[in-house]
Amino acid sequence: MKGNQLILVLLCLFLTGCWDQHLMKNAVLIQILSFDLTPEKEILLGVSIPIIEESSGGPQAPVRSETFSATGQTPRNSRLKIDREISGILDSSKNKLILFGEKMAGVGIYQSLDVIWRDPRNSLGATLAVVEGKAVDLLNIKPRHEPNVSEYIQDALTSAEENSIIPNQTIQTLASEMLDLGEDIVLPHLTMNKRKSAVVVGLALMNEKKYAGNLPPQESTLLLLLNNKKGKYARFTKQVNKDLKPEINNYISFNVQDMKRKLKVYVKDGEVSVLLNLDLKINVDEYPKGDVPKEIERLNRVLSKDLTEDAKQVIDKLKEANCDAFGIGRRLIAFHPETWKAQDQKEYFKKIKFNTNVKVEIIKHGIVM
Amino acid sequence: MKQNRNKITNKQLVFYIIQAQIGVGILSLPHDVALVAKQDAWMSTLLAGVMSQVIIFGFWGLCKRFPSSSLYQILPKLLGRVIGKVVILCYALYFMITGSLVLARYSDIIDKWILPSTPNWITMLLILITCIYIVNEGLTSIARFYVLVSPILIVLIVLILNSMKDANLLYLFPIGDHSIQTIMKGSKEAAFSMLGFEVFLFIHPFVQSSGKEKLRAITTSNIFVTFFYTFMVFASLIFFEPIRDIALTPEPLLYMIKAYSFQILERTDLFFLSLWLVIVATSIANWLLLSAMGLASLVKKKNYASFLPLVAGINLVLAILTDQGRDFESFNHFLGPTHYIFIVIIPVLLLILSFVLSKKEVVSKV
Repeated sequence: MKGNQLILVLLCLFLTGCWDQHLMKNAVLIQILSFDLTPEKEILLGVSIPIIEESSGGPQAPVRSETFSATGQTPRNSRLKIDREISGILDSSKNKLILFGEKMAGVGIYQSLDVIWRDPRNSLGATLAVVEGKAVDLLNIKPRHEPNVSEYIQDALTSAEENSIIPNQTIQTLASEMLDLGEDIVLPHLTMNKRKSAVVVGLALMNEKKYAGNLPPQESTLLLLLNNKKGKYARFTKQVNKDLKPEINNYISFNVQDMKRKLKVYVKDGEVSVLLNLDLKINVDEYPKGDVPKEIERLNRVLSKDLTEDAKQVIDKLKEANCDAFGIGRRLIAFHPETWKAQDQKEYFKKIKFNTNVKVEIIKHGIVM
Repeated sequence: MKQNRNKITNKQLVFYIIQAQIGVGILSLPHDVALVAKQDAWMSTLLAGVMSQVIIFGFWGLCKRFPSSSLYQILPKLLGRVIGKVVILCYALYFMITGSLVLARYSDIIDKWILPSTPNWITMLLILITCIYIVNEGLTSIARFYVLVSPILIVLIVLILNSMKDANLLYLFPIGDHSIQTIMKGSKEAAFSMLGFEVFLFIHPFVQSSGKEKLRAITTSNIFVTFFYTFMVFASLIFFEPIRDIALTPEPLLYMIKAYSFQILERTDLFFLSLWLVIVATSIANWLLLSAMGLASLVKKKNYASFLPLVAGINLVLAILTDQGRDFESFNHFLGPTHYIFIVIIPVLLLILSFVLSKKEVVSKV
């Protein structure tokens, strides 16, 4: 019995884990990180931290956010400088979002992410995004209806994800695609509008690890569909009539209900061609002219043609940015390794011939005709 | 009554060997194998399983000829008293060193992933105390404990399956792009993680079943472990880009789990690591047991328990000495050939010797 008591006391001493405790009261949680490149080629790191205010009677204390920034040679170096400025210890284990300024993204995003992969305490669930202009400016906006910038931007991204404007991805799922020679990534593209709120303006196309171009929202949705990464909704508005009055009658809005994508890579004499077929079953959301069933054949035809054209345009833009978002290179590595070895492994995407077809079929048109 | 206490059943043997085989290597196995065999690493893992099965047949052949003696009793019978004792000592030392390496690797991962500022000797000491406690109680208790903790393996599989939603099967292709030699080299890497089945040589007299049943049991565990490992390697290969990304990630499985959080559970890797601790403890306990048994049979003591603190102490010292990550390389390098000597060459030589000398245990009554 005596022995057991001794062991118990010893256990209490040993098992407290006093070396590695991180007390919440000392921690300052980072919610957004932003990376920018200064003209002097230094890294400008911005962090957004939540500030919990005294509850004013209500059950929930309001949370607003505060932004700090500092420059340094590496992200860690900048972070140390911020750490000296604030009371408490910066803790990035709950970080949800990492923003890159355009300049930084143009140089490459991989290097500045190293610290996030290396430190076990960092969260790998964070998402990445590219911001037009300087990223740290976006942290300084004061949205009216949501005092916490982090919540606000995240909500904006989540809704864009649901609407298939941006794909759902985290820093860990991106790592493999970024390192893969035969595949490139696309990131959400954000901007700040005149009223100082953040807007998702489509996708930033990356060439390997560098920012190389962008796609506006409708085209980004089409790209996601072509890439078989549909979110909850995928909505388009298209012009299907000409010269009707009022103008609103010329347009149709629809949501993609169901889709099938077929992607096949062919190699002939070392030339790579891709067959990309997209079958969309759509649900008409809005057609002010009315009577969809009567025009269904024509609408199907016009929309198919229109979206096929758009798809071609999207692919041209991808080629221009040299962004292999479809991972054609990976398919070559996998199924045609000899062809892959003969290809220029940086510029191969530009030479691929695409044969793209989008077929649209209206299957539902709401509760009226 | 006293004899019954140290017997284990055939089913317990299955779990015993599974737990002895699956150990500290599981986290880094996909990385180690993929470094060599790239996208064909899963084949290397399967191959390693086949090779260990061949060795297992050899073990069984030896044990069949001596159904009631462990290797420590067979050695003096076949090699004579003096040489036998020397070899026993070598075995005991070998198990001690292997145990230390496992201990050092365990504390290295704990240090890197969870407790960076806690002194490593504390984490080592804690797990050693636990292991002594497990081993001290005799074979039956050890086996029961191993059966009890085996469901953890299923949790690990489920956690890995969860991250499969972001996998890319294309990473596996082209299948068989590497030469047989490369794949063989890869399975050499996998073989270290397969180790642990040699415990059969030492505990088979305590299993209450016929020779055939024992073979079936040990084969079952080996097949399970092979598939378990192959699944883990396969999962990491399709999650990570198999040439550059996986080479940057020493513990791919942890990374895969870390990337996801559940509604009420974030940092799933910490949860995973605490389960993994148990798996590591079982294999450290196993090596502790083997080493202590060896020392006990050296001085003809029936009870090995009094040697446990000594072995654990040596383990601790050796592990602290090699605590720096860089030392693992040289440690591993040194251990590589020793594994072959102790696991393959000596048992096979003994088997041949027993045929040549036509020495066999007279089965009196079983």
